[in-house]
Amino acid sequence: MKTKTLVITTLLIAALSAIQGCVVIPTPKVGNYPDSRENVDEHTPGRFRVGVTTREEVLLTLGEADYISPDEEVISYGWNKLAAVVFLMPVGWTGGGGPVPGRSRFLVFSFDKAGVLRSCQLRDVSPFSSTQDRNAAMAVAPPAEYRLSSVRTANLKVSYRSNEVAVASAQTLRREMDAELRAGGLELRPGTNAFTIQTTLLRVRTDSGWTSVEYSVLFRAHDQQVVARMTGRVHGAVSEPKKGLGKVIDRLTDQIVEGTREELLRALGRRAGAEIMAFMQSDGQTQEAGKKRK
Amino acid sequence: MKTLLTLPSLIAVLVTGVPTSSPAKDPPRQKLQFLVDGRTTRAMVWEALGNPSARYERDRIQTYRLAGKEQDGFIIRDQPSEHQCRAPHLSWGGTSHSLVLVFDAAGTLRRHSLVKVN
Repeated sequence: MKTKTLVITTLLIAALSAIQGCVVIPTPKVGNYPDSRENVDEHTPGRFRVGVTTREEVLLTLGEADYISPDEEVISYGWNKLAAVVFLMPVGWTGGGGPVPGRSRFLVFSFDKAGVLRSCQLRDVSPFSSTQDRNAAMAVAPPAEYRLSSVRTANLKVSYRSNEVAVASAQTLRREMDAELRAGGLELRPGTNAFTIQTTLLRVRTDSGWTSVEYSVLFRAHDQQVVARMTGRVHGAVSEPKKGLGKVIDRLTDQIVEGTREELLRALGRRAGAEIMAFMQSDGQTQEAGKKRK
Repeated sequence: MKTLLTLPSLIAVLVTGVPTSSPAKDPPRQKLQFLVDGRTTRAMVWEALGNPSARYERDRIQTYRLAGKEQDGFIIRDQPSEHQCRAPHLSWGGTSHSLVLVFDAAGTLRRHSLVKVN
């Protein structure tokens, strides 16, 4: 009897040892990866009509896009399929597992200058593809021609009770703002898609005895959403830490410059324009070098 | 003997105490009744919801990421990180709805929609 029990126990332990590790359950038709959006699929294009539907209607129907090109002529929606669920067999009292992402799919909507739908394509990307391939599928490649819709100045006017406080605050805020931007990895650096061009401080003494300080930060990015977020960061960096010392009298004055390179140079002045051109050239060289390496 | 065994247990309970959890502070919830087409302004929206998660057509169209249910009020989700902005990342975890607002040239809300994304 004892021998029989020993044999059964040994066989059971051997069997459990054999199946320790991963059990992969493929789930080809179960659905999407858990954090993927659920309101877009292969049938979505049927809800829109080429030549009729506008960008506004697509956004109102599907919500925020996952990508928008700088000229806003391409917007994309993506979702990740669920490839499998992995269960790690319990060893002692522990166990685990989780979902495995499968192929990514993108719906790429293209619009004409008037914002009317020109085409809608379904693209499929392997989970093993590079970031570059994924970006290409979503049409994220930097534009050949830099559009100035992705350049924005964030202006802030803050009034202070005295000139001395204004000067001290301006210096402190400038340092804080620079630190905030560096912390976000937003410094001028070729190869990145966002950076600051210039920060300027203008002091104006008002008749009422208040000193008005104007901060102006200029951004340029391939992605307009990045610029929008950075202007938000500047507003936060400048206005929040110094509450009480100064009074922000205009925190939402954003100016968007749009046009060709030449128009940018004219609009932004010689110094800022020259910096932008220098960056464009170095960025272009970086891209060229990348292409040659391929 | 029983007392000897019980006493250390009692002391242990007294020393360690009964674990309590302080109630987690719920993030503020925002109802969307204030959004009235033709009446609500962009400034009112910014005041109530903060920075939008995305802007289109020179701020004419703005979107917000929301979590929760309409009847309880929504939690305004944090904006996607810089990383997500640079390399599109299809993560909508924790976000239930996308609020899309369309303004006219004067900055007054013209149309809006609440899209369930998750």
